Amino acid sequence: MVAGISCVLTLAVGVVTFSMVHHEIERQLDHRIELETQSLLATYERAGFDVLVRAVTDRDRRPARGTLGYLAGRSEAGSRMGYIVLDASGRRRAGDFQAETPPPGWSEFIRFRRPDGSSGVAQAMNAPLPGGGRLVVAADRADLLDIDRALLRVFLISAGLVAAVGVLATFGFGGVVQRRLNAIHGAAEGIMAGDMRRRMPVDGSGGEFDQLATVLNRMLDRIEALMSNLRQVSGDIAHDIRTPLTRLRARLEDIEAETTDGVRKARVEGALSEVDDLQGLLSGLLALAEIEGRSVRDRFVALDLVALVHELAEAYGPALEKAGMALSLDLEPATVRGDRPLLLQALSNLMDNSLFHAGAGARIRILTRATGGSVRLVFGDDGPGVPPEDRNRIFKRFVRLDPSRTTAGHGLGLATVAAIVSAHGGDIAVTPSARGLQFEINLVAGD
Amino acid sequence: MKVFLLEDDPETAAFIERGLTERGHVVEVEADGSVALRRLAERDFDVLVLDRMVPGVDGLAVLKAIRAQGRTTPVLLLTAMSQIADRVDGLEEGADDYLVKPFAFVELAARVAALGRRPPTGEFDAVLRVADIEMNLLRREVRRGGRSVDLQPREFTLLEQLMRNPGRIVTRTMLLEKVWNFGFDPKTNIVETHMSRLRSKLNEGFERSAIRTVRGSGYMMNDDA
Repeated sequence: MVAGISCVLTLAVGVVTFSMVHHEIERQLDHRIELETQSLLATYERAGFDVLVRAVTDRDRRPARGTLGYLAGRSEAGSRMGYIVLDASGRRRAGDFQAETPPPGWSEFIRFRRPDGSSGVAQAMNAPLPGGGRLVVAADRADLLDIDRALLRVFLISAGLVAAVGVLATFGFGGVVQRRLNAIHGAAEGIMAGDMRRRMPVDGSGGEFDQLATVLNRMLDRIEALMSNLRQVSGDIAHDIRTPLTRLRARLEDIEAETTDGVRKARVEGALSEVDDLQGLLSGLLALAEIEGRSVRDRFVALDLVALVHELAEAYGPALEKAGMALSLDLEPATVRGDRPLLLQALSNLMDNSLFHAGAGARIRILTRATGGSVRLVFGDDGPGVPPEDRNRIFKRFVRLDPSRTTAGHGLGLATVAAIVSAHGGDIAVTPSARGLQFEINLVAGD
Repeated sequence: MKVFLLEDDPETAAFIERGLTERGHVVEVEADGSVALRRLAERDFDVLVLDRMVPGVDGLAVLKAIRAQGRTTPVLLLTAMSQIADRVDGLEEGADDYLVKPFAFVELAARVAALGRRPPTGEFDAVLRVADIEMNLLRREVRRGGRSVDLQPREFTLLEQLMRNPGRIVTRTMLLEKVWNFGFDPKTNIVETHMSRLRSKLNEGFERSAIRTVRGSGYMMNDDA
């Protein structure tokens, strides 16, 4: 491809140069003929027909130093061209240009015979003599042809060289590309065959292929991490479903064996509560999947975060009071871009978390601040908090710090909060505080 | 009440039909959306229960079609899909209520009952009365046995939901949706804590509790006595 383009370009340059040079030399030949014609006509005007005949005969007698064309390029003195002088009756009176008398005016491509006997092609001008008769001045095109041939040779050779170099470069480069592509192809095949640990070869050259391979490898790392996360999650789900299912089965067997109506009814209720528990787990997981699917973004609007916090405070008021907990609000006006039900759920999950873990008498604080394009919400309690090593872990699904797993819930609450915040283009972190557990959430400001 | 049920799973349909019939409703069941549309054009029903995913024309399309005909029959949509976006879609298409499968039957029955007894559009009761409790919706006042009861706005709305459904169970999730606009069920029992405040205000100086708890399902106010 590259070779072809180089060749075509070289040829184009050749054609243009060739025609320019060719025309220039042709023009100079014409110019030379014109000058010589004018000079001889001037002689004729000044001294008459006989002197012209003598002058032309003199010029013909000068020793030939080459072809007519070669001499045509020389200065007037010593130059020799072909001449024909005809008198008024049309008889040739001087000049040894061996050819038919060309027609009046400019003629090109006249065949003639050189003094050495070889044949040639000339161009000529046939001019009238004012007192009757004609003067023909001719110049050989042999030099022009020589130059044309030389130019042609040069360009054909250079075009050939360019083509050869181009073809070699293309095949050489193509071979390198092919080798790299084969390597990538092989790695991809290996991965498709199930070897998720395999990676694209990187030779450290930093070239385009290395960059591509690095990006592909990063993508593969991410896919592998997601897949291992998926495996982990499905394992967790299987575990979390199996437990209530086991209990459910046991209860149903008890019911089957039970004959006392009252006891039977109580056991049925117990079984139903296991079903509810399973249902809660599944809808929690579905909601999480939906939030992580990001389609929720379509419904985002500008929301008054302070109003949302007040709604939350109102809803949880009696529950906090019952638990002997206090809520203090430090709210500055803040608008965020988001989905009301989701943000309410996130705040509600944080509230549930504190209500269940901070302990009686704890104090919960909520602070909002708007700075530039973002809104900061700090949610903290002064309960026992979490050890620093668990601070990031608590956002993972199915993580419950209570090792006995006796507390209610499936460990989806904070994972859901993190998913909601992330779906909102924000971030959440556990931040160090003097006492208890403190979350800092950054959200995108609305308008 | 005449209830139309669009449900393609025979077992679920039979379970719902049996339960609603036991509660005194007349139920017609259809499994195919396009057949359902024909039946709905022939007869009037008090409440439509439409499953979203059925063969032929799905429940949401049936809902769209009957709303496009200008019919205001209350519709309860059932879905097995995920909640969030789905719920919004359903309500936007003109569903009056929404229930996610699997559900407790009492939840479905309570919602069907609540939909069926809604006053026709445009009508508005200024005063609600249940037993010895009187609620004036215009002046936002509540009296029990002639004595004024001072309620917070949210407690007032909570009581209103119960008084609009005398003798019927109003479930916890119905209250969460209608009173707090919570489309989810938080771990903290928000309804219960508010209800106990409302109760203590209503019951102060009275022997008989105004609001009954139906264990595992919700709350109810009795019209008798």
